[in-house]
Amino acid sequence: MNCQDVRYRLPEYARGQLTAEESETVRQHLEVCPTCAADLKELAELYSRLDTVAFRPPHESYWVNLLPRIRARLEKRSRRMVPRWIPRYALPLTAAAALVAVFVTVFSPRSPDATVGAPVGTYKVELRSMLNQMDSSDLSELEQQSSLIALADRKKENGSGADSYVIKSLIGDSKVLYSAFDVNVQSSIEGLEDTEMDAILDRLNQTTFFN
Amino acid sequence: MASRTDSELIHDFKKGEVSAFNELVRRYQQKVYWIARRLLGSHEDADDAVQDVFIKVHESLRGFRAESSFFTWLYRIAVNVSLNALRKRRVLSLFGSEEVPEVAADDDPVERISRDEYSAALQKAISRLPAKQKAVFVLRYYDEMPYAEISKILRTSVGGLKANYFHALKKLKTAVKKDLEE
Repeated sequence: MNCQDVRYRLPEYARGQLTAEESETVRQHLEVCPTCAADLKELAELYSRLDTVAFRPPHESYWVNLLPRIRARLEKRSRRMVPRWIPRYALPLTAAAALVAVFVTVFSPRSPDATVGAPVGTYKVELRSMLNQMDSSDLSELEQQSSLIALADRKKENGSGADSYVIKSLIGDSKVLYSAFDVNVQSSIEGLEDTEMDAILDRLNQTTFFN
Repeated sequence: MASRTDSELIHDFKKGEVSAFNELVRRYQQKVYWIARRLLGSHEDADDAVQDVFIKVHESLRGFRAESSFFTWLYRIAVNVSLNALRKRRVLSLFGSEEVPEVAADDDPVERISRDEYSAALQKAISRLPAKQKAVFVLRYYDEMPYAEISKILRTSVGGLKANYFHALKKLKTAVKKDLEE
């Protein structure tokens, strides 16, 4: 078994969750590989610390009251069901429209003095309520769109730029956006040029949500 | 009298027995709560999520065809509802209307003070894991769920899950180390 094979087995080895045979093979590798042995040592320390990270459990009465609260919500819902004729995409489209409104207000050439924060507050209550009714695919789409807006937002707010490599990646492939967003795109805002900003705006204009 | 199996309860619910759904809630409420709590951090968010999960279950149970076990199906809903809540939080934070919590907030000041520095850094690192890695981490570490079961819940290959779990742990180690050095 080489290092690559051992790597993904170490988490289970450290917790004694491998079969006896697998465990013995890993053990033999660890005896001759100081790198994997060091990884195991770190992992064991992490596990011992993880065991100390505990959440305070809710009060016992919470479990007794939960079912009545669920039943009350079900009762309330059954009294105000959404009519079937409302298409399922109505909500994401409305949310998108709210985002467009924010976007246009902030970046409209007719209102160069508009402050960035002001229009956002106007829509946030409405946006929160719409988000609560959207499903995961709608949210993923919206998350991508809104992270682009946030980039543009920061540019406007700070007057200084972003990591051009990251931005170019975003413009080139929206799939990159999601993973880049996960490692916090907003921390990479240094050095964005106006031309790159324009490219982002073009990109937004081409997307489903903004057409 | 022996308690009814999940399948029997679902069967009875489909026939119109309201108490069968109640029994399913009582049976699984703690498991669903703890998945949501570990993914979302605060009790309030977990409470919202657990209610949403059982409302979805109630709405969809009549169409449940037992292609997977009820447990797997329920966990899938619980993870999806929690990950959606994380996404909503993230989208809202982009508009400045909601802060993304720095740590998985367990807002008891006494408990927070008693945590040592390492544990606090660790909790912060967990809250910052990417959604998918966080889900794998919670199911594998806290629930000690076999990869084969997680694979059915997240619809991801076992190999992919092993990689996700390994990288989540690696990320935690690195993040904690960096945090403590700062």
